[in-house]
Amino acid sequence: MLISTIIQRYLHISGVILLSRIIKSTVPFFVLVLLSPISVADIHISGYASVAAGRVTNGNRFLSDYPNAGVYDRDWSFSPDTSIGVQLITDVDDKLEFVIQAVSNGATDYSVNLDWAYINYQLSSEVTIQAGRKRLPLYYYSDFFDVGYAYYWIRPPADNYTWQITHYNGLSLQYQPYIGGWDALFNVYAGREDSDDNELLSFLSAASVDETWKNMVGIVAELSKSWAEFRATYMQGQLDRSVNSIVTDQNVKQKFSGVSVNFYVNELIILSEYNQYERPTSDIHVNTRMLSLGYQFGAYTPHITHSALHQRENQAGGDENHNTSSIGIRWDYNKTTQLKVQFDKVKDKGITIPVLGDSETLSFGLDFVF
Amino acid sequence: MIIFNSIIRKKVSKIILVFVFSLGFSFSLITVSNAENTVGVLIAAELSPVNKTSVLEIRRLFLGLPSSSDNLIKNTVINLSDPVAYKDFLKNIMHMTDSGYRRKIVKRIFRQGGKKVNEIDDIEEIVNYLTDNPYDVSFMTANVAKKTKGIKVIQVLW
Repeated sequence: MLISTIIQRYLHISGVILLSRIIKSTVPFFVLVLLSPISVADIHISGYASVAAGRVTNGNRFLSDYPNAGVYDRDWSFSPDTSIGVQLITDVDDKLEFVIQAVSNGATDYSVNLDWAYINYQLSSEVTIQAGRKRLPLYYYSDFFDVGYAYYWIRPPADNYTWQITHYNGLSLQYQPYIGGWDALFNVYAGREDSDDNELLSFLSAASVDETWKNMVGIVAELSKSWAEFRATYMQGQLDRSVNSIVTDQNVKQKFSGVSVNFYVNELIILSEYNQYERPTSDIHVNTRMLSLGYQFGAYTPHITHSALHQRENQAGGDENHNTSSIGIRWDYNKTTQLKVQFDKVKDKGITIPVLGDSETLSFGLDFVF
Repeated sequence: MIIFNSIIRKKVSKIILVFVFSLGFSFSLITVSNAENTVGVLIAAELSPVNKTSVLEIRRLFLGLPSSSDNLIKNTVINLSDPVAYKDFLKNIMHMTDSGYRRKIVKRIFRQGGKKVNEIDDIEEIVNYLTDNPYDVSFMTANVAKKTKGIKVIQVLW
C-alpha cells in the first residue's frame, strides 16, 4: 500500500513535470503544424513509459544505462532506468510525413531530448527516405533502447550497450521488401553527431568530454519471420574528442560491426548478439556479446542472460573487461502493460580501466505503451 | 396382410427418404454455414472506394507499412470481436502468433516511426469506424459480414 502510494505520487509528480517539459520541447512542432494546412486529425500520437526502481544489494554502484550514465547505488532509486517518450507523426500528404519523438530519461535528470525529428518521404510502397535526426542503429536494441515494453529485461544487457553516441543527424534510406516468406529491412544511412559534455564519457572520466562522430556511413540488413530474426550491421566513420576543451583525438577512424540472431520457437525465446568496435590507430579493439534464454508460461516470461564486454589490452593500458549475469521475470499484466523483476550480477575484471566494480542489483520495472 | 405390409413399407421408405433428404439438406446447410464461418473477408464501409489488392499488400498494411496507392487503402483495423477470426487472420494472412505480431508492431512503431494499427473489439464500433473512415479496412468471417449492415466485402482473404 505504502509502495503503491509512493509510486503513484512519484508518477504524478514526475508525470506532470515530464509532460510540461515534453510540451515545451514539442511547441515548435505544433506551431509548425498549426501554421501548415495539416488538420489535427492527421496527427498520430504513440508513446511509452518505463518506470523502474532498484538498488545495489552487494557492491557499491551499478552502471545500468551506459549512454545516459544511469547508475544505481545502495539506496533505492527510480532515476537510472526510468524513461518516458512521446511520438508524434503528422501526414503532410500521402507520401510525406513529419516524425518527432521526445524522450525524458531519469538518468539525465528528466531533461527532455529529441530522439527523432525527421521528415519521411515514401518513394514507393517499399522504399522510404528520411532526413533529420534519428537514433543510431548500431546494436539490435539501439533504435528502441528506452522502450522497455519491447523486450523482457528491465534494460537491454548493459555490457552490450556501452555506446556514447546514440543519435545522428543526416539521411537514411530504408527498403522493406518481402522476400520468399521473410520480412526484410535494408537501411543505409549517413550523418554525424556532436555531443557536448557527453554523458557517459564525462561521467567515466570525471571531466568535460566533447565527442563528435562524423562522416558516419552505415548499413543494417534484417530478415525476420515469426520464429526467427537475423540482423547484421556495419558502420564506419571518424571521431573527434576533446577533454576539458583540449583536443585529444581528431579524424580518428572507427568502425562498428555486429550480428544478432533471435529465435522464437513456440514458448522458447533465444536472443543473441555479437558486436565489434575498432579504432585501429588508437589500438582499441572491443567486442561485446550476449546470450539470453526466455520461456513464456502464459503471461509470465522468466529469463536468464549473460552479457560481456572485452577490450583487447593495448599499450595505453586499455583493458575494459566486464560481464553481467541476469535473471528475471516479466509479467504481461495486459496487452499494453508489463511488470518486471530482475537481478543482475556484474563482474568487473578491468584493472587499468575498471568501470564501477563488482555489484549485485535488484530492480523492479513497469512498462507500458499507449 | 401383404397389401398392408406393402403400404407400410412404402410409407416407411418415404419417411426414410424424407429423413435422409432432410438430413442431407441440413448437413449441406451446416457445411455452407461452417464454410462461411471459416472464410475470412476484407471489409470496408458500404460506400468505400477502396479496391481489391494482393494478400501480400494486405499483410503490409496490417503491419502498418506503406502500401501501393492503387488500392486506395489508408489504414487497417484489427477486428478483436471474434477471437477465432483473429486467430485465423494471424495464421493465414500475417503468418505469425499474437505475441509475434504485437512484438513486430511495437518494434516498428518505436524503431521506424510507424503509426499504430487500430484495434476494435466490437462489430458495431468497427462499422461506425469504417463509415467514418471510408479508406480504411478490416476483416471478419464471411458469415458475420453477410449479417452486418453498413459494410461491403472487398475480397476473400482466406
